[in-house]
Amino acid sequence: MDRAKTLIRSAFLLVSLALCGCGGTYDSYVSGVVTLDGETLPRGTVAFNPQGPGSPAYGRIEDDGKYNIQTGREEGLPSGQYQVTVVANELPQMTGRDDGPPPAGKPITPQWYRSRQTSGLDFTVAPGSNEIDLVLTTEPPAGWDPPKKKNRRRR
Amino acid sequence: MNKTNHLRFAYLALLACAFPLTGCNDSTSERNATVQGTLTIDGELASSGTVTFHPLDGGPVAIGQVQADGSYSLSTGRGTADGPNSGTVFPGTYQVTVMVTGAQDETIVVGEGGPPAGGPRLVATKFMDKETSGLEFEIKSGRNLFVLPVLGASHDPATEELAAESDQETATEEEAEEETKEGEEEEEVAAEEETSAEQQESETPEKETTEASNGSDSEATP
Repeated sequence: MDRAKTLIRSAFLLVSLALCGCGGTYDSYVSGVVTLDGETLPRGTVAFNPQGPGSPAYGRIEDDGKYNIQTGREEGLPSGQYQVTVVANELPQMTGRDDGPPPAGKPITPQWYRSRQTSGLDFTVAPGSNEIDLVLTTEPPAGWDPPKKKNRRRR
Repeated sequence: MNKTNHLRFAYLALLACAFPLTGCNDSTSERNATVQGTLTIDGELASSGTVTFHPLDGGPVAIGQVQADGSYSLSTGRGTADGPNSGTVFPGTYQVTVMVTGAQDETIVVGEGGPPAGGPRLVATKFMDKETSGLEFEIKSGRNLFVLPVLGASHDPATEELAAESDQETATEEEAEEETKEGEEEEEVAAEEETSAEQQESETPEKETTEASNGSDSEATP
């Protein structure tokens, strides 16, 4: 009787292990190409921010404009609704002077793509493979009002 | 007689279990959490660096090395039978610090025959101190996923002041130009009252540009 119980327990354990781990943690995969005014971006970060609860998933934009989404260390993300943001900056200039950190690189991507409320990039991620190209433009979206530049002078 | 001995033994066993060193399996002191996540600096994925999770009520810190894809996973660095760096941590509340240095500029040398200076610090100083980083997480048993959005070094208060000063010194002409332009703009806006009212409405949601996910400061570096 004991042996049977042990066998059943081991089988259950094996099945559980097989279900969680092999084949990936997430049910969906997203990759694509990012372009700005028709040209592929050479660098940057894509973020898929879930509409519901959960952490954002990220993908680095490679020098050919391609990105591939992962959550933490793992490939893919849960299926669902997402608001996407894209941030790309030039590499920081090495000043060659030993006076502290270099200034941040100039932004390549327009400001509205940096925030999920203004990017206008809403996507549904279906279970399985998703090819989502992000076609960005330097043309501001309708009703876009650039936030006032922080003037050093106090008005 | 037997019962009393058993009771004594039971009491001793209970006492022993109170001290985790004895290896008693009390679930609150079990190292059964895994933590992974992503580090972003000003909205962009980091490609190197170290994240350190400091337990609020003392104990071993957990450290993660940031990979080229911006991801990290934690280990406490305590040896187990599995290997020198165990990939599990104790559940609990942790404060996080982050350190990232950029590629070394080999032209900077500390002294004659000395080693080249380390690469520049890429994260704002507040993230290097657990009391000021503002990053605190509750690690639960099982899998945990934490995104760490930090600000770059250009957001250090001292650096921002310096940038402001140099802007004023070198760009006074620009500002004079801007002022006259803004004067003209203001006249136009006043004339079109409808458009300006709309603009004010759309301004409010955009003020919330600091998102945990991909938010970089609305301050675009000129």
